[in-house]
Amino acid sequence: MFVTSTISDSHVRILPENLGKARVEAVTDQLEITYVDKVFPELGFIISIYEILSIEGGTIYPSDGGATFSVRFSVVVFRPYVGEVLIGRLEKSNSAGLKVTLDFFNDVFVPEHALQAPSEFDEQEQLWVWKIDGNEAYMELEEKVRFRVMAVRFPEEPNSLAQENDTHTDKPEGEEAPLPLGCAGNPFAPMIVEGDINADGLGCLSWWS
Amino acid sequence: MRWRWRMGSRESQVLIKESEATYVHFGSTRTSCTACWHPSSQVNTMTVTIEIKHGGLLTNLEVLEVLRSRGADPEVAANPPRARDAAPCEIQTCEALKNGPCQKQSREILQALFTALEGYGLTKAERQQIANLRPATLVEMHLIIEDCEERYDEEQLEALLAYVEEHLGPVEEEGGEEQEEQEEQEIEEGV
Repeated sequence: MFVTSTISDSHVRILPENLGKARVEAVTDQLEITYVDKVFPELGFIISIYEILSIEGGTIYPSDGGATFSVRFSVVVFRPYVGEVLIGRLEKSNSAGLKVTLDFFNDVFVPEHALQAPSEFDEQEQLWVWKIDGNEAYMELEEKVRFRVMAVRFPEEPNSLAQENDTHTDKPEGEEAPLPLGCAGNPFAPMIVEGDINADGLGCLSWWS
Repeated sequence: MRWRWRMGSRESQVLIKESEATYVHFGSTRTSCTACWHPSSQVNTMTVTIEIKHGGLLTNLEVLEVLRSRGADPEVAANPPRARDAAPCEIQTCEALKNGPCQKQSREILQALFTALEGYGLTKAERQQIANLRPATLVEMHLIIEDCEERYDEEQLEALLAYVEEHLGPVEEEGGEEQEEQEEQEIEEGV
């Protein structure tokens, strides 16, 4: 699930108000603001700073009150590899598939073609059912689910800046400004883990214990 | 060895995106309807480079230890003490890991387990998975180990499971406890 990665940032700026702190503390604080709890494309979801390897510099640029450091540090990254088996909780279920949550990471999707064969979607219950040996095994919400990682994708974020500044095209009247990216009406996930539940041992934990 | 040119503030890049000066826009992925969209967190990819993308696998236990040292566990103080509170992702990850098999583990236990598993030729990823998932059945071993049928026969897998049982302890039966509670309630109501 977790991996360490080493990043080098040559422009870590410590605000003037933090220059009184010890160097390592101020730099760590600034790195946490910039990196922790964020998705770094193609790297993963950065959970925490692991260690600071080197801090160099301390340059003060003209008309700048803060000092700029060049820092090499390593971070704990959540980036499951393809084929890794993880255990999550079933959060939502619809005809397109399942949404599983890992409590600290919510964007795990299991598309409907990757479920145990043969599975059907029960419209009334809005749950997926695995029909095996004449039995019906429902995948209830909030159940613990074991899945295998098929892919880890980092979708490009749509160019929100261009949308905001788009005054040239005529928008039809009545259409409101597009919702800000990332809210419920306009969801966007910078990192998506696709899972599959299509093998022995995968699916609800209760099926295999 | 990477060459670096300095032209003003530019440096050569070993990079994620090949296009020039793209701005890396970070977003929080705690929820897909994320409320944490930080325009201020745009970072210039000219100054940020990933030196080592994959520096090594971490077991859940090691991550839990790191998070505890950063103060993400309310029961454990940060060591060394830190200026700001732990980030939400650190707290949530710590919470999620505490409820998993790694809560009962320690470095010594894992070291003993890996020493016991030495002769079996498991890859690092497989050992990490065994430590993280605490497999209890043959089915789980087949999932964790690639080409399981070709590499090991059933006896060897049973031996592996026995080592896991011996070093990592018995499986926590959450479902069993709930069932027992329900049965007790039913008996009380019946009386």
